[in-house]
Amino acid sequence: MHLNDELVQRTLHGELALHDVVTVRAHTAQCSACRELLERARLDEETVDTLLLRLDHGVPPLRATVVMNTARRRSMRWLHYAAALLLLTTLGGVAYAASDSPLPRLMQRVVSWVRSIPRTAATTDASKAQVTAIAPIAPTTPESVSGVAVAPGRSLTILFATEQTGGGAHVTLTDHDEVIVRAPTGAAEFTSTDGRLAIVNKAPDAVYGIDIPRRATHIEIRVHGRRVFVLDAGRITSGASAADGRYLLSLH
Amino acid sequence: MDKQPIAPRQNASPPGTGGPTTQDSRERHVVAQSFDAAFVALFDAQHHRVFRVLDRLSGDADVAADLAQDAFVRLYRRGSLPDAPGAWLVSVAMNLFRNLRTAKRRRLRLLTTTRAEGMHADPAPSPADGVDARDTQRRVRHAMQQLDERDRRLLLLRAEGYRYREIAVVLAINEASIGTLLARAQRAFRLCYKEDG
Repeated sequence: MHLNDELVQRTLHGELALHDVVTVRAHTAQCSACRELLERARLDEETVDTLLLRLDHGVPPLRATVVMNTARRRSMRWLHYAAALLLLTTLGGVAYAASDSPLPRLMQRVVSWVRSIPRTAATTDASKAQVTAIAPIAPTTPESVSGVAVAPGRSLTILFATEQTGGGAHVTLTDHDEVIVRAPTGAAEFTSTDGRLAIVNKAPDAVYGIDIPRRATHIEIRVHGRRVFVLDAGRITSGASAADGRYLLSLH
Repeated sequence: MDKQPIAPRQNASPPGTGGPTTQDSRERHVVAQSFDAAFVALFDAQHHRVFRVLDRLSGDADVAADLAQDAFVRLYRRGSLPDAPGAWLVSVAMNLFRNLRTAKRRRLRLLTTTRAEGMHADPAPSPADGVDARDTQRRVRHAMQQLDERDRRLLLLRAEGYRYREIAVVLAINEASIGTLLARAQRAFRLCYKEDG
């Protein structure tokens, strides 16, 4: 057994395992080739180390106490930031909660303004598609709503089992990770299997709310087998009208 | 590597005591003092190593000084010493350097600078030696630049005397093959250096 690179380097650096020390020592005592190999490796390493010295600059005169003081100062700085943030939050909360405060109205106006900005997703194929006007959908009260939330995975198809004579579905693009479908309590039954969310819609005029993650890979909505809405890699295809970033789907 | 487990500086009060007692604060004081002493000892033993690795890696003494200090600041703020403080420090320092380079927060001249002046520079060589020395330095930097990142760090860590176990931790490689990788890195370096001459 002659010495390989691993054993040569480990011998040079004193990194041999105990059982290898004896073996290597015994071998090199009788093998001149491996002795030469070791010697050459030693010289090569000395050459590399000497050359690397050329890159060096002087070590800066720094004391541990300076580092410790810097560390303490930085810790204090974070404490100050945290305290300032807490103070600002408290002041903001007090100002918001105070009677006659203009902040709630201001916030409301900002929210309305943000919502009024047209989303880019609305300017897709949907704008070219035929717009089907549907009757305004009456809002449902939270108490009367049931629903289901599913992770869309790579592809999800939402299937409405039957067509409806009235009602419809509000489709909203969200930044959440799950598809959420809401329906008036008792109006539908939900069954979720791999890649499919089946909705057995019983009420002929029920209104559904469907939240769809904007980042989902592929989601489509079908009504009795007919495709009415597709989100595919950010691109939306739908015959529905879009307003305020929401799509109003007819289910008939 | 020298193991120096030190208890955390912050010592929580025993549950149900309703706050720190005089005994608690005395213990905390003793623990903090022992940590500070251990930190100072570690700094004296490791600072020049961390600085030199960063200096050779970056080619910029100012950057190396800043990052080495930052690594120690982080260790101090950690409040306790890790199992292998040497490996921890150089690991953090190298990560800081990588982040710095990636973010391009400063104009680093990675192993290409020929700057030898500045507050940390060694005394200038005599004019006769200067040309040769600068040429050798340029060739060494160039040869290092030709190596891939892992080989470069491997050579620098080994040259600074880090043990194989520490190198394996820092570079996330198998300790059993470090000798082989090191031999290859040295061969590659020598070849690049010769080719440049």
